[in-house]
Amino acid sequence: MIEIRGVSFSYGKTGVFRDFSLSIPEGQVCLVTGINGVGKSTLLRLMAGVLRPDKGKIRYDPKLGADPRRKIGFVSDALSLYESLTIAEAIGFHKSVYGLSSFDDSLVQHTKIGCRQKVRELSIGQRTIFHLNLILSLEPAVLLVDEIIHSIDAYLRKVFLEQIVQLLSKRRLTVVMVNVNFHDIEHLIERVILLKSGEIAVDENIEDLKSKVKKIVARNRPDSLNVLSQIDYSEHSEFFVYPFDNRLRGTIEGDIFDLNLTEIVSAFIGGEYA
Amino acid sequence: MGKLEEPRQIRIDAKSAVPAYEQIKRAIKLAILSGRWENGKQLMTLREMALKLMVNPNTIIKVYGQLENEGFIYSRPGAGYYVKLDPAKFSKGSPELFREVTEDYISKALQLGYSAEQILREVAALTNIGIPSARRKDHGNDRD
Amino acid sequence: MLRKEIRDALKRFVESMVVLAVIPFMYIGDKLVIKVGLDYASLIDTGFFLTLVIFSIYAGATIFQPERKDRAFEYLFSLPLTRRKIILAKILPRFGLLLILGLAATIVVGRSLLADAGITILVLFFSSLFLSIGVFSTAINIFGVILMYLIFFQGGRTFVYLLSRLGGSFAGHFGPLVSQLVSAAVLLVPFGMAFWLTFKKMDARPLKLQMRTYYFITLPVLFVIVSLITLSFRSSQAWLLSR
Repeated sequence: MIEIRGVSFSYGKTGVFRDFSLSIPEGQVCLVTGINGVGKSTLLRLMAGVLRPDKGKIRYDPKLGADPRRKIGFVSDALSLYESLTIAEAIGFHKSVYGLSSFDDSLVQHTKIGCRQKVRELSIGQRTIFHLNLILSLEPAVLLVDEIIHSIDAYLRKVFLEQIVQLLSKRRLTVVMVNVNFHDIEHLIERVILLKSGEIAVDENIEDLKSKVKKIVARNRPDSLNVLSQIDYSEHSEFFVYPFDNRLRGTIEGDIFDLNLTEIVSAFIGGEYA
Repeated sequence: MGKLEEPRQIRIDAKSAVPAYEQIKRAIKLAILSGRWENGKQLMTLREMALKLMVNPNTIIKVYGQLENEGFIYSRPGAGYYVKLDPAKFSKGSPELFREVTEDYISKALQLGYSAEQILREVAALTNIGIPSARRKDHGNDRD
Repeated sequence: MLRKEIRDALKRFVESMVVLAVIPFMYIGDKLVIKVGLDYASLIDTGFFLTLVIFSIYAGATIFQPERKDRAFEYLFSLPLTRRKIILAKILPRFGLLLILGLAATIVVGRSLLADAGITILVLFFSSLFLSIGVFSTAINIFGVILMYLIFFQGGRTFVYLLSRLGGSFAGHFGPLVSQLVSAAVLLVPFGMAFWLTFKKMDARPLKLQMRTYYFITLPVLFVIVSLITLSFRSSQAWLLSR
């Protein structure tokens, strides 16, 4: 669906990506994660066409049409909109640009946003939901969502995620999410991509990742395994290892624990801060 | 026949390395084999199930697909999925599922740090049976 | 997009028209208080002229104001609009209103306005338009426009003089109008190119990171023109005085 080939990008002197390639097939729900500042949001913006690569190309499936942006729903953490427009005007503008004949404003109704309110008067949560409503109204084939889950309350979060599940059920929707906290989206995700210094450090599907990353609680460091990071306690330490092989189960000294996605990503990221 | 009351019982353990689809599958199998879901009852649609559990619809597709292959449910094209209770399976008591469930319990208890000893004791206590003394290592401790 | 830009252009229009609204007050004020003896008719002429000047500069300079003020560049570039569509939607309403205002002014003031100030107004509009992408505040833009105007003005005189040196009898045939046109073109075409090339490549990065193309084209052009004008200044002044 989206093919990134040999892309280089920098903000002035600060390089973010160099000869970066990534391919996202249609219908996949993909998580992009990594430490703050590693380039996740930049990657998403490149995919959305809002930033242009300095070198390399980003190709889209032809079924997205001549201008793929028509079918890409992009919600960034900047929540960029024309702030001095009222809600009604913003909706009208959006409809005319995308050529929509109708607009389902049920999400907006949920949050009790007034039509005469200006966009800049909304709270972050309201603005996020409004943005999502705009994006969903164009029936996107690709959804690019950047870290906005955190700024909305639990109820709205659920409403948003339900919308995504609905869309996933209805059609082939490709989703790329950038997040650092995954407790409610964990089961939507199929593929996990971890960025490190502008490169892909980990690219696995979630089931494989779960079987390969384990926590070992022991006194001593397991020497046959690669330790990503560790937490030391007075009597023992927790070692986060990757890749773990089930065949080694009998030979490891200590207790082996499975991890959820948040813990897995923390293990990778923790190693970077050490 | 209306739709079933749904999986409040199905909780996916995110910390388990058992894949989500496998956990859901087992929960449904359990519901069917235990008789809680009667023969012929209609399952939730793929979409409803995905929404209820907040999982990727592809996961449910996989679950339903495998359950259908294994003979636990059948589908009527355009009309949903239904429980297919094979009396043969039922009467055999589904040893594979029993094994799975038992393994699951044991591995969880081991993770918690209990020894095989303590697990056996616990099972015995909960099912009201005694444990043969020959199996016990520490003779000095009290019997249940 | 077009509808929004029309609304925005109208807003700038109305803001510029404030000048005209002041005139009646000036007249009344003069009649009652200052008693200098202002001629109402010439006040209106001046008023229209001023409004034209103000609007032409203001409309050009504020072309990206909605995006800058509303931090909407990222949103704009996420829309399925080509750069061409965007810039046309922005320029056409403003240029259209400028023409209408110019027409109204010509009707009210007389054809002399068109002859004297027509090209100047266009130069002001396009200068501020093309500068809008190269500078970061409207104030600097306006300052830049003034400089551009001076260059254009002096450039016209220099050009006529240079032609007289090169072409001999041509100079006689070149009315001030044509020399103004050429001076405007020589100045504005490179700026226009710089503007378009910069805008075409533009994305949601901070503006100052994207100005390289722009300065690369405009600075040398400015350097050449200003050098030409400076070098031939004495001679061109002398030549013009002698005619």
